[in-house]
Amino acid sequence: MTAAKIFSEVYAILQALGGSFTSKIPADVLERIEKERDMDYTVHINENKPIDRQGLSGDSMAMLAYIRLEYWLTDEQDKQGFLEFLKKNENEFNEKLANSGSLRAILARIKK
Amino acid sequence: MPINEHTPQDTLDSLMDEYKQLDAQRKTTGWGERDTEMAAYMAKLETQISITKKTVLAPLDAYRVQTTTLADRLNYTGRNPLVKLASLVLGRLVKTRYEQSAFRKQWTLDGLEIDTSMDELYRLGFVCNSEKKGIMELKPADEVRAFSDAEVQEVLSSPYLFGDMNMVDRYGFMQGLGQFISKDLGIDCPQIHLNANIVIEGALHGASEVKDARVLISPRELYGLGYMLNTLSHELRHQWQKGKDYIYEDGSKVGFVESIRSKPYKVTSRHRDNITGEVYREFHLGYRLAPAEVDAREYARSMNKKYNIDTHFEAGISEEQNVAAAAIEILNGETTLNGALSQETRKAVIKNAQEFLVKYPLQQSVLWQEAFNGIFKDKVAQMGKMLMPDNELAQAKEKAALREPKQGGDLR
Repeated sequence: MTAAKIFSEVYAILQALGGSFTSKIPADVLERIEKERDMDYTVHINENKPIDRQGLSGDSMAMLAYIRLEYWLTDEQDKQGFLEFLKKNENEFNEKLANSGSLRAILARIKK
Repeated sequence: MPINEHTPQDTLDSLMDEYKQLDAQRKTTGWGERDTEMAAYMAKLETQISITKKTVLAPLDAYRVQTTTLADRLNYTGRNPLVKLASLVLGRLVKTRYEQSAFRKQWTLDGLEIDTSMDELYRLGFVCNSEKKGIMELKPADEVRAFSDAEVQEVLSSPYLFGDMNMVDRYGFMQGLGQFISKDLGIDCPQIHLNANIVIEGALHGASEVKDARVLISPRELYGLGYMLNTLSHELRHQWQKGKDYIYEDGSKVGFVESIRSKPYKVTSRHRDNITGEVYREFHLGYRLAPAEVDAREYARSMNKKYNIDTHFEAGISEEQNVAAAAIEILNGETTLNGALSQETRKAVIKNAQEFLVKYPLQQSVLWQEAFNGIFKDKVAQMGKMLMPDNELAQAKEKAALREPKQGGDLR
């Protein structure tokens, strides 16, 4: 997904979330999101669904995670907890990958 | 317990050992001429074993009731030290009630009064039978998650603060705690007293006033209770064992009493470090589900005004977050409010909570980190750079240092 489309998706979500969320984001950041977004890319947000069911790209979710980490979480402990959560996600994925048959097959081929 | 004092269980064990040895001997070599005599002796042993078993087990069996046990809830996080602590605290409550004559009557069966050491009670766990107006009842150890001797001793030997409090009736536990803090230690600490009181009071209300109450106390409440006591006990232990000063993270020293008076939230925050990440996440799960602040605040106001309730739950957590958490508990059927309110009011509260929580699913999910499952830390950092390139980040920081933050774009 292009950077512009990522900005579009994040922009749409922020609009849906409303002032109590966007007011915590610095003006420069909001301006950048607005400026860089793809104006021709339409994003449909359903406010009755949680964010992980909006069909957003992984990159957009990662950008929102960054915003959450930097601006929405105010407590250091919460921030640390969220960082650990993200790290855990990555570790779990790597573990699964390492245990998967396909990776073993690739490694075996490389060894040959 | 004195070394040479035998419990019914000890007697039973001894009889069983003897029987097993004799039985093994009979099967291998026999007793020759004394065969008949020994067979009669073994028959007597069998009778004695049977009687002793009844003494040990029967009264407990009689108290099996069809309710969700605390232990059932404990299994949810069975190895959690805070839950263990909280359950031991509640065990003290059982002890108190047991010592009252009214409860003691409940603890007899067919004229047989059970002589159980108090420490054993802690291991047994308990259930609450709502039909009996909140009287705590005990469950046999084999039906619940029993704590080992080592576990019990480990906690009981710690200088926790609730050892010698005068605990009476259903409010007494926390009143005792409050008195202990305020009178004995000279600390004016109503917030902690209030919060704790709600936990216990609510649980017992739930027991006594809701006919179909099945849950005595939710895991979250246990966390709350354990959390609070953990904080306090660490403070007290520090005071008693290490000396007079409390040292903050920033290195400043403050007297213990002063530390509670002047920076109560700081203390809470400090000791949050003592709780494992897992427990912390669980404990705060409800708060993370809290919808946007403004909406929650409105809800808090309306709830408090309409039902004249105080939903403060824990020091350092905002009212609106507490209310949101309470709403979630209402919907989960685990709330302390259920028992404190009439059926009609309860229905209204549940309806309100439902409306409140289903209204903002998107907002809620953003506050909940689990919504970001599958997102990697490295990717987040990468997107952060895209959002705020390094040079712009440096500029932004400089700007921020020079001016008040302002809002921007159409997103306001």
